[in-house]
Amino acid sequence: MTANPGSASAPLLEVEHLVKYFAVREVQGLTMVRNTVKAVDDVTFTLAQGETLGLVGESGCGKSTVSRCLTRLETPTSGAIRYKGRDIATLPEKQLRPLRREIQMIFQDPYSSLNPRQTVGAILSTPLRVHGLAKGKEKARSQELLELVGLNPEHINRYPSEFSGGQRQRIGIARALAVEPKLIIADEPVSALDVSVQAQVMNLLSRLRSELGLSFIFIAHDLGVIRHFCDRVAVMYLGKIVELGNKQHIYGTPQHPYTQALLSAAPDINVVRGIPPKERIRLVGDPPSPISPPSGCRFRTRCWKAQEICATQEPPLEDKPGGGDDDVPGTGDEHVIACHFPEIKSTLVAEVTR
Amino acid sequence: MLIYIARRALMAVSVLLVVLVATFLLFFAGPSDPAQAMCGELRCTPQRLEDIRRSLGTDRPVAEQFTEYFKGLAVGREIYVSGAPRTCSAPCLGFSFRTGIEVKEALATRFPNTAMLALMTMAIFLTVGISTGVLAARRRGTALDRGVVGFSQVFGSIPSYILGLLFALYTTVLYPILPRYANRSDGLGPWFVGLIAPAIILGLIYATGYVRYARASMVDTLNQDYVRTARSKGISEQKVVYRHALRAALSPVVTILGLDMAGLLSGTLVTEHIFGVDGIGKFAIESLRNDDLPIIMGTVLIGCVLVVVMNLIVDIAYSFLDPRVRLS
Amino acid sequence: MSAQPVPPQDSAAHDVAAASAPERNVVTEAPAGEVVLKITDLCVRFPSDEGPVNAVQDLTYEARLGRTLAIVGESGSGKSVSSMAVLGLHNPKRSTITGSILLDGNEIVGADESLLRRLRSNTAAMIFQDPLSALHPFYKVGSQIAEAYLAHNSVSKDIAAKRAVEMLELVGIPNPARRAKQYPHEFSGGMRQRAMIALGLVNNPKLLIADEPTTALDVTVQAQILDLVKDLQREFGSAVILITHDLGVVAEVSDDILVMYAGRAVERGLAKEVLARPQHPYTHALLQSLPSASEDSDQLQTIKGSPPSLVHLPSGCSFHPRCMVKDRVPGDPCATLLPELRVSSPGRQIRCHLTNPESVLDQEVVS
Repeated sequence: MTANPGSASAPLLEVEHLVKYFAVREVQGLTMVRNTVKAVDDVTFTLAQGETLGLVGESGCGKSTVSRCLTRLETPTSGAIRYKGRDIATLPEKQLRPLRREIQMIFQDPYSSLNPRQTVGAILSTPLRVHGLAKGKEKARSQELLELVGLNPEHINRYPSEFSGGQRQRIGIARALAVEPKLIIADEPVSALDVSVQAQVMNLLSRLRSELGLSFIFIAHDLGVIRHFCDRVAVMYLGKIVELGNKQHIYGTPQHPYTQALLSAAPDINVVRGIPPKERIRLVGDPPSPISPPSGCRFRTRCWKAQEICATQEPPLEDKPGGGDDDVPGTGDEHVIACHFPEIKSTLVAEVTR
Repeated sequence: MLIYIARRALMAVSVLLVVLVATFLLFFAGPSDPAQAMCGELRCTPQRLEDIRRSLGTDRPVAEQFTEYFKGLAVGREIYVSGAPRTCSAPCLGFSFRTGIEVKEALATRFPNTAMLALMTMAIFLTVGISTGVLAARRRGTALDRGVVGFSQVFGSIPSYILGLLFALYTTVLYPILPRYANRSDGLGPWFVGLIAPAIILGLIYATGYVRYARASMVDTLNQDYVRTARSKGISEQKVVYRHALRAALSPVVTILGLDMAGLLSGTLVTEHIFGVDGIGKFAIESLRNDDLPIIMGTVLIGCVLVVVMNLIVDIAYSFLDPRVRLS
Repeated sequence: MSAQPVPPQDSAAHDVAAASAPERNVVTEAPAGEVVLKITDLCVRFPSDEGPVNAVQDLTYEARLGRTLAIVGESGSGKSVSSMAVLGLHNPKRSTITGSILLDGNEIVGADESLLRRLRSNTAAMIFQDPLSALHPFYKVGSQIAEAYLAHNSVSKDIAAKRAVEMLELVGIPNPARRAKQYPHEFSGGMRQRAMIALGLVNNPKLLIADEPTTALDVTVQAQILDLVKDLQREFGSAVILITHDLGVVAEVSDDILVMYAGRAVERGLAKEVLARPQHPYTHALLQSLPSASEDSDQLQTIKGSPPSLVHLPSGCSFHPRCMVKDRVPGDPCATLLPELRVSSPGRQIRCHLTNPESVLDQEVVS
C-alpha cells in the first residue's frame, strides 16, 4: 500500500464543479423533446501526487463519464479540471497533446480495446512514436514494457488474440505505461477478467504504482477491489458524489445511507467465509433516470430516511460534525457527506477479528 | 408513431427537393449544351438549334430556367414545341422531343408494365430467396447449406443479360413454353402471363442475393439469446424459427428490399429490352438512343423519387417490425 | 404437472418490495427434498477447428426440491454448458453428449424433441444472464410470458394473458397489467430480470436453472433479485440451480455448492462448509484471491497463469500447472494421473490427490 501522501504537496489533480450533460432526443407522447442527461453534475475532488482515489457507484452514476472527462475523451460542459495547476477542461487539442502523455487510461475490456490486426510490438510502439519517445529504440522499449507487466518480451510479434484475457489486460497496461504517465485513469480494469486472474492484475497495478510513483483514479463497482487498491474513495450516485473520505471513513464509519446500502448489498468475502454482518440494508427499485433526477437529494426516492426537506433542499457535500472520526478539514483527509440525516453505521460489513 | 412517420415524411420531402435541384443542375447547368446534343451533328441547322434552345429554355439565364422548371413541376407551365406554345400541367416534365407526347403521359402508360413486372419479380425472389436462405441457415454447415450458398454465388455472378437472353431464347423462342409479352391493350390476361417469363428470370437473379442476406441474418438471429429463451419455453421448433428468429432476421432484409424495389420500379433496362416489355426501362434506353432529353430527365427523376419513397416506406415498415425504432 | 395460478396475495415478493428498512437476514437450512435432477458421468463435447472441445467431463450431481445448488466456476469451466444440456438446448448436430441426465425421471440425453418440449419450462425452466438479450425485442413482455404458458396448457389466450400479469405481480413488478403491454426495452435492468423470472416460473417448474442471473445487474439490484429468487423458492418449493462465478452470490443463497474447473467438478459439498473450509486447492486459492470490503489487505494471494484451453487440457489434474501445493503430494502424481472425485470428509467430495487437504491448505495461508 502506498504511503499517505499528506497535504504538504500541491494536489496533482483538482476537479472543481465538473459538469457533463449529454443532449438526447426522445419521444414523449406525441411530441419530440430535447432532454439532457445529467451524467455528471457538480463533482469536486482533489487527488494528491502518488495518491489513489476510487470512484464507486452503480451503472449510470457518472463514474465513467468523470473518467472520460479527465482524459478529455469528453469535453466537460462546465467546471475546471486542473492538472498540476493548469485547467485542461477546455484546453484545445493542440495544447492538450503534451498533457495527454501524462494522463493515460486503462480500459475495462481487454478484448475490444486492443486492435486485433496489430502485433503487440506495434500496439506498444505507436504511442512511443506519436509522442516522439525512445526514438530508434522503440522495439527495445516495447520489450522492456512487456517485461515490466510480467509478459514474455519475446512475444512482441504476437497478436492480441494469442493472449488470454489477463495477458491482454497486461498489454493494455503496458500501452498506458509506454509514454511514462504520471496519472492513470483505470476504468473497471479487472471486472472483465476471470476471478482467478483478477488478483494477478491487481497486484501488478499495486507494484507498478509503488515502483513508478503513479497516481490513480480507479473506477470500479466492486467494493472489495476499491478497498484493496485505493487510499480515498468517492461514492457516486446519479452524477453526484454523495460521500467522500479515506477508506477507513467509507468502510469503517460510512454515514450516507447510499454508501451503507452499497456496502450492505455487496457480497463480501468474509460473509462468504461465514462471518455475517450484524445488519443488512435492502434498497427498493432501480436507480432513477439521470434525465429527470429527483429534486433535492437524488437518493431520496430509494432512501428509508427521506423526509420533506430531502425533496426540497439538496444536501451539500460537507463535513458532518459529531461524525466521530478525527478528520481535519483542509488536510485532504476529510470525510464529507451529502445528506440531511447522516448517521454512522459500522455494523454493515463483517467484523473480522484476526 | 404518427410523429415518427410525419418526421420521416418531412425528411423524405426535403431529400426530394435536393434531388430535384440536383437533376436540374445535372442536365441544364453542366458544361455541355443539351440543345446541341439533341440537335445531332449532321442535320442540325441554326434554325433547328434555336428552336430546341427555345423549347428547352436554354436561351435564357440559368436562374430563370430554374424558376420555370420548378414552376412547371409545381403548377404547370407553357412550353414552346416546334414554335407553338403548349400547356404542360403540373407536375410538368416537358414534352418528348421526338414524338411531342407529354413525358408524364408517356411514363404513365408504361409504368404499370414495369410495376407489375416488379411486383411479380418480388413475389418470386422473396419466396424463393427467403425460404431457401432460412433452410440453409437452419442446416448451417451441411452439404445442403454449402450447395445453396455456392450455387447462389455462381448464379448471382453471371451477368443478367446473359441469363436473360438464354432464358428468353429457351423458354419463349426455342421451346415456347412461356408466352411472350403482350400489351395491356391486348387484354389483361395475356399481358399478365406475358410477364411471367421476365419475372421468373429476374426473380431468380435477385433471389440469389436474398438467399445470402436471409441466410446470414438468420444465422445471426438463431444464435441470439432470445431464440434460446424461446426454445427453453417448450414451444415447437416451427414457432421458434418463424415467430422468434425469422421476424427479427427480416428487418435488415427489408432495407435491401426497399432499395431493390426502387430499382425494379424505375425500370430494368436489360430485361425489359430482352423480353420486349414496354416499361420504363426499355423506354429510357430508346430515349437515350434518340437523345430525347426531356424523357431521359423524366426517367431519372422518377428513379430518384422512387428511391426516396421506397426509403420512406422501409422506415415506416421498420417501425412496425421493430418497436424499438418507434422511440428513436 | 399442475399449473394452478398462484394467488397473488401474501406473496413473498411483496414483502421484498416493501422492505426498505434495514432487516435482519436469517439463513435457514433447507431440508433435503426429492431428487428432481440426477446427472451421471455427463460429458459434453463440441467439434472445433483445433480439435474437440471438452466442455464438460465426468460430471455427476443431483438437485433436490427445496434446495439451491450453486455451480461455481470461471468462464470455460463448463458450468453453463452442463446446465443447458439439462434442457436439451445443445444442437445435437454440433455437440456430442454422453452420460445420463435424469430430469424428473426422464432421460434427457438422446431424448426426442417432443419429450424435450414437454419438459422445457414445464418441469425445468431457465433464466439467463442478460435479460435484455434474452427477451425478444419485438414482442411485449406479457405475451412472451403467456406464450410459455400456452405451450403447456390448453387455455384461451385471455387466460394466458391474465396468468402473465399475475406472474409479473408475483415477482414484484408494480402496475403489472400496464407493464405486460410494454416491450423489454421499456423496462429497467432489474425489472427485466424480474420479468425473466416470471417467465421461468409461469409453468411452476420443479427445477429452475438461473445462469448468472445477477451478473448484468448493479449490486443493490442484485441483492433484490437474489432475495426474490430465495423467497419464490421457499414459496414454490422448487429446486434451484444457480450458475455463477461470484462466490459472494453463492454465500447469499445457496445450500449446496459444486465448484467446476476446466469442465470437471473439483469440489462438492454444503455451501457453508466449502466456503468456510475449502479442501480443493483451486477453491482455496479462489477464496484467498478475493479482495475484501471488510478488511484491509496488502498483497492479494494469486493463482498463477490462466485457465487452460479446453482443447488442449493439461495431463493429469487439469489444475496442476497452476496449483501451489502440488509439491506436497507424495509420489508426484498430479501431472500424470487424473484424480477421481472422491469423498474427502463426510458430505464433501474433492478431485485432488491430497490426502490431508485441510492441513496442507492451512499451512499455505501462513506461508
